[in-house]
Amino acid sequence: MKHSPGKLAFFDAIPFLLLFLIAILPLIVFFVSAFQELGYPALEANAGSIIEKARLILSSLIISFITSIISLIIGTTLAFLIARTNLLYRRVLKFVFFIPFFIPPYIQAYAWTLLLGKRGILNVAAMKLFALSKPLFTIYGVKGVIFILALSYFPIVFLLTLVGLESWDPSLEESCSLYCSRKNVARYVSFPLISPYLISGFILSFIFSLSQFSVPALLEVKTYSVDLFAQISSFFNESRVALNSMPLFAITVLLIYLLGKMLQKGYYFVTPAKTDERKIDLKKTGQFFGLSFSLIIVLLSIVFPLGELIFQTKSMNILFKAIASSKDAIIFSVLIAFIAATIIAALSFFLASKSPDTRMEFPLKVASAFLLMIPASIMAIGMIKLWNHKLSGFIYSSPAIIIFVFVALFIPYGIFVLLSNFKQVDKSLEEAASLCGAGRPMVIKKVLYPLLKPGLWFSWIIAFTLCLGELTATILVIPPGHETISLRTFSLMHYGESSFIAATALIPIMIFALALAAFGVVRTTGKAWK
Amino acid sequence: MIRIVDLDKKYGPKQIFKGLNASFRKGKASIVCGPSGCGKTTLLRLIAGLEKPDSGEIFINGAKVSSPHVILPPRKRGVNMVFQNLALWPHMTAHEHLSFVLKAKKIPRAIHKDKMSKIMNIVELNDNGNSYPAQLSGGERQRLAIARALIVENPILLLDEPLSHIHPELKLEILKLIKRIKLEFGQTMIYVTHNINEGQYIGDELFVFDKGTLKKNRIARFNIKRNKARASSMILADGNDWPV
Repeated sequence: MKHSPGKLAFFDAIPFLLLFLIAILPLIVFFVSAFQELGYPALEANAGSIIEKARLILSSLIISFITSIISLIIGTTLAFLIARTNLLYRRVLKFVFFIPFFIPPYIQAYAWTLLLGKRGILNVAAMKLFALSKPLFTIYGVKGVIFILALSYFPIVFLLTLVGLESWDPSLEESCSLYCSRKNVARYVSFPLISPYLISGFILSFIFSLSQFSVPALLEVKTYSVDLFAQISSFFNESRVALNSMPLFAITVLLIYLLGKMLQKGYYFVTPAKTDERKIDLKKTGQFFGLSFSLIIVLLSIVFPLGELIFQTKSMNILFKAIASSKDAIIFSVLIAFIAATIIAALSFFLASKSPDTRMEFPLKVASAFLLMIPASIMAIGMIKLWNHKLSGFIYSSPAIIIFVFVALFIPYGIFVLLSNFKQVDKSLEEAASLCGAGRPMVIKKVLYPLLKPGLWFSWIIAFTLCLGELTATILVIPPGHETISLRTFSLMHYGESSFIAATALIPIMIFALALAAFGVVRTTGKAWK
Repeated sequence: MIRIVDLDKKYGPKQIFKGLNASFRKGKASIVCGPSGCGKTTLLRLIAGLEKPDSGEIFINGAKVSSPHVILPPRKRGVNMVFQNLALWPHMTAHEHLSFVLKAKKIPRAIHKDKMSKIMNIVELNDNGNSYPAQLSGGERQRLAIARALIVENPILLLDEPLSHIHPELKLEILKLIKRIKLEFGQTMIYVTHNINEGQYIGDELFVFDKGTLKKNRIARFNIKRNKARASSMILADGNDWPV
């Protein structure tokens, strides 16, 4: 049954106001401050610097483009193997392929410097084995950045394509196969229907790669994001940096616009169907190639980097020492991530609960898509510009600024998860409770919350892990006297002793694993109680 | 004529049918009835070439089209099908659905327009040519699926519970349309349903699934013109003879 969109009551508008204040306002301030600088000469107002900036933008675009293409190929192939074929162990592999999403890119990069650095274990072994005078390939440089970023971002494409393929109705292809060949079925039906998911995955990994700062910095590649960070550190003039980051902002807006245009028709929402009986039968050769490809990706993105970090840690003593010395950073990180994730889950819940029956659904979706794609550095600069004033200085100089940044950056994930969950809850369930005399709080507590608990938990755990691994924005807004575990790990990478760094790098991953395990225990216990 | 010989089909451990034999006569409307899960849809999918039999053979007009080792691609069988879930392509408008089939079947471009307007007229979708499936009502989608299956005149038409998603009031209207199409096009039609009353109205032959075998039954025909009230009430009553 359809419901006409209603008006938003004052109290229901509070979550929307909070979203505006925390996430949208910093971007408006960013934009305004950049414009204010237009009248002044640029930081280095000479022809050389303009050419240099253009070169940096171009090389960043090329790196992001190649990274996204590789992520697209890996992610799509894996999603296809899992969703559309009878590949062996596909149920286990489905979860394994998500693991790289929880390994922060800078940790991935650091582990690979230990493997493929100039004195990396693989390079040393290869040089000894083949009597080479210098390594054949080092992870440093543009190729290394592309390699690491592709390994870090393929799970995004994998997830999106998997969603598309799992909600796929095979009869759409079958009905087409009555009239044309397999090649044309792929051309006219399969590809047009799956393309929105592929394009979304491509654009997301493109924007994430473009705004990546830590990996190129570690692998000694100067990109536009690295340059922006250097400007902030050197000049402390956020307005000028805002102006200089306008190309990044413009590219992001353009890509969001293109994505919006592409998804406008909305036809890509395909009716879910049970597809278990209609998987493509991989014969022995297909199984061999499918499993080999999956194994290579698992080795490169999980086993080699984590194995190397564990190997370098050498002993449990070093790990305990690293944990003891990072105690404050761990507590601070977990606390901040916990608060931010809880705010994200709660705010997303209230935003999503009011959206389906008001006119706010479309603006909320647009705002979430926009926030999802905004580079972390731009959000951080906007936050600094907004809160670094006499009146609001107490927020700028306290951990609250980090919480605000995390909420602004990661709330889209919560909103998208809970919006889709709310869509599945029939409006009449709420109405029936209201007719029985239940007030709004009771409807939420007794009807909505139990139905949406899995989605709420899922968005919390995603937000928590993302907050814990965030680095780019944290570096820019961290108040003096505070340190997150990501920041500490990244700082140590520049001057620490390798076994100690490896042990410290394992800490965020151990926290992710513990959080996921806790989530699993809560879910299992919950089910057992039921 | 479609001949099924000793057909076996399994899905995992579940045996759908074993040693199935049947003959469907040319130019006749054969109704296949049976409870849910008895293999009605699987039978249509096997005839269309969307599934391979585990053993046994299928012949169309004397030519072997399916066996465990040989399978003629669906597009070469001269089969049209209306799927249970309709399988309309969400990214194509009603016109695009029809023109796609015409292009795929290499029908000369000059007659596309005529063919499309004729079929849209028959299914009464003239005003909906530019609509996407999501913009059509349940009945209109059903009629579009039928139009797609009829735009090229293949000798065989398979209908998989074509009224299953339809509002009761629309059922009779669509049934009349199918009957009209049957008279006009004279195709061999296999109509799968779990509602025996639909079969009585439309069919020439009735096949009933019974413990994995297909038994040919006498069809109890009634005249819709003489007994309109009875026809409507039986069809609209969704009179299942089997637990669904």
